[in-house]
Amino acid sequence: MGLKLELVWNARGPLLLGTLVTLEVAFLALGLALVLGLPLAILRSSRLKILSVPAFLYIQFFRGTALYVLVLWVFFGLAIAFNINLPPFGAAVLCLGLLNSAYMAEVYRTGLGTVGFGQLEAARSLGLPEMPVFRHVVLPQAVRIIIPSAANLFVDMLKDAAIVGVVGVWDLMKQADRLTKFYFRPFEFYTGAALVYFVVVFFFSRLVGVLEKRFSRHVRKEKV
Amino acid sequence: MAEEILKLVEIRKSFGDHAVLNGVDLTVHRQDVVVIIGPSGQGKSTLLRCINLLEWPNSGQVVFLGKDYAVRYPWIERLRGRGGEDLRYLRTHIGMVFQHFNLFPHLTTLQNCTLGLEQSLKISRDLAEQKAREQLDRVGLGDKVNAYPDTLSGGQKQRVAIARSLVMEPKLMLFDEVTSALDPELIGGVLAEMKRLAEEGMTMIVVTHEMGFAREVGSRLVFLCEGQIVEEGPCEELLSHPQEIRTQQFLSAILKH
Repeated sequence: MGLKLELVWNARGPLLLGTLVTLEVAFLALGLALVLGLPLAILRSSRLKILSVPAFLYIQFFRGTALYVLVLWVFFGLAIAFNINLPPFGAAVLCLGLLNSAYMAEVYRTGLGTVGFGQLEAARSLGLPEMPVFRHVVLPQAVRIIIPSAANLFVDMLKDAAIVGVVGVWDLMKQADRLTKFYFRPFEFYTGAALVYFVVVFFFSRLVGVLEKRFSRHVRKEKV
Repeated sequence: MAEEILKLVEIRKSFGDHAVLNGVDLTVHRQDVVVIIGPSGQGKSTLLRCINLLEWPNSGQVVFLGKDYAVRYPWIERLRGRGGEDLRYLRTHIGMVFQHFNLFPHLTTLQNCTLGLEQSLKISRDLAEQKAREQLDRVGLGDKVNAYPDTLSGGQKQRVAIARSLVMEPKLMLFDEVTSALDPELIGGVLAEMKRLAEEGMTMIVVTHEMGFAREVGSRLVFLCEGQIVEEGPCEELLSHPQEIRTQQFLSAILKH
């Protein structure tokens, strides 16, 4: 028997291509989740039921939906029932993004909740209108709390993106699958895929570490 | 008589069923130092917060420099931005210092002081920083411009908070129990700062339990209890010869120690 690791190296072209597709799906979906999550969080925290209830329902719906089901439902279900034909890539990004916008909304909400009322009052007492209060006082303080959870969420999204192959997106996992079937070497190719995920997540975590430092400059280091 | 800065007319405020202010009238003239005393939870803070409309009174007038600001415009007008400009004017001309400082922890002391200038008064960064430096110098923290609030002592924080308000060049300053959260040895520095301000002619409304300060600096004392002004008058007189029984009780209770 023995391992034929050189096969993986020789197939680096398609694997790299797949990695790029995975990254694209994950990052675009992250962008969607970040953009949708913030207004959702704000609506969800509203005292007006007419705003908070729909946001609550949206969040519950997407949190309670399996990504696998959602992707199939959007790509095949909508196409057949309503003749809405989304390209596989678009459907994948949309599903991953919508689903995680619900989680992201909760991450935002937690972060925004940590900024005390006194901060709002101090800013208002200086005459700041509500938008600058949010932008210059609330958000920068919330971001520090949000970053670690958002990074966790993104790592999950990156790995969850492995299922978008079911609708025909040629991501890393689908490439690894195809190569596995071609050479019949599952161990080598899946190990290769696992390594790529690991490396990407590793470097991403380092990047997040830098960001965290950047937003924590004002926090005094605790002496242990 | 000096110019009238602020006039509160029949201010009422309740939170749910709980009536906090039951018709408060108060007039403040230029260079007045009005000291408000009274038992806890009787509306002192709420009254201050109604002045710069951090709380909206349920009814009554907040007349600042001759204009009533406690006017709620219909929502359609507010959507068009009506009222926002009024509120900005009111708040940029009234400074407020809080019991718990409420400095912005993510900003340096300098940035704490420039935020209002840049965002509310639209002053350029250079000029804002220059003004902020001057003000921090005056409160004795010129060497701390790049420090974050977390690294300062309570007294220093409160002096930064005072500088943050003063830099806006307010016409009226509100102090809400600003020494209550400080260690005893740090109180003096903050009170000295307030005394200096009063001597420079700043109009101030001060909620405090520091009777020494009231006696020395205050021009008028107001005793607030159960959401009403029970008694008011010149500090010395009211402290030595309170007329109302509730004032007497309160004063004897706090002057005991």
